[in-house]
Amino acid sequence: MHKYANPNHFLRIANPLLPWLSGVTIVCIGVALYLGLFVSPPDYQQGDTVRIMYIHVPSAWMAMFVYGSMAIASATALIWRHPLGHMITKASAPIGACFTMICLVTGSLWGKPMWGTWWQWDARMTSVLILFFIYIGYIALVNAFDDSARGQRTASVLVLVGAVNLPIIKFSVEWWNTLHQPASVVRFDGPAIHPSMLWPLLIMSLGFTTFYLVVLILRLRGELAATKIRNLRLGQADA
Amino acid sequence: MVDQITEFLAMGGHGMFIWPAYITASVVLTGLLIVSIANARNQERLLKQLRAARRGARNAP
Repeated sequence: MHKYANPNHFLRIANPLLPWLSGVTIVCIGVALYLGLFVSPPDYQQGDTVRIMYIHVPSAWMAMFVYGSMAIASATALIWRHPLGHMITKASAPIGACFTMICLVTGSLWGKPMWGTWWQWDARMTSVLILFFIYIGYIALVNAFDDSARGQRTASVLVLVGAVNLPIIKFSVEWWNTLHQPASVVRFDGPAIHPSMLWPLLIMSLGFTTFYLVVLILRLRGELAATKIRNLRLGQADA
Repeated sequence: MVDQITEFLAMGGHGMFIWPAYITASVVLTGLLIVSIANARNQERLLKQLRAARRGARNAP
């Protein structure tokens, strides 16, 4: 395991996977869009606005999944001092922020016709907005240090502190009276959604996950090259 | 045919909410992908140039 914590070794495995992950992403998102827009039925209450669900819910899941990955990577990097963990955290943050933004915007667009409001300060919406701010705060903090290694370590601590927000987001609809509906998929009794809607939802989620992995690998390549450039320039400065 | 397309785009009167949602997601994710690819390419090109310059300096008489 330690061998693959070295960024160079990691990319030697990740680079060959890139075309396959890209292919799966294109196929999954394509199939999900077809099923979601053309095949799945309108909801008996919500009509066609239910089709926003096929973007909103997977992006919400990704917003939390990416942050969870960042928290694990940060903990690993801080405990075992593996630079790859910090790199994964730094590379993941903009991706997570984008998914969170998509979740908030699409949620607003779904809320207006269904609830009659673009926004409400209920527990779920507020905690997801806080998640977005934590992403932005992490990106600002990690880039604020002249010593990039120190910046990564400091920002990783922020990620771990902010991880408390994930269970708050998940359980907010159960702990508080919220406008946002309770869980319909990840529940003890199983999904409450008909298969004709569940399939495009799950396929889109898979597509978004592989998209995250594709962009993560690309950003890691950029990050690794930038680190080597910094080291080369530091070496030249000392010479 | 045109009627069918118009009906599809209208989405039961909710098209003005549904299509901006899909467009927002497409624009944001495509933009993220393009920026990430461009950044990786630029950094790798710069690294290659720096390494070549270093090798040149070492080999110079």
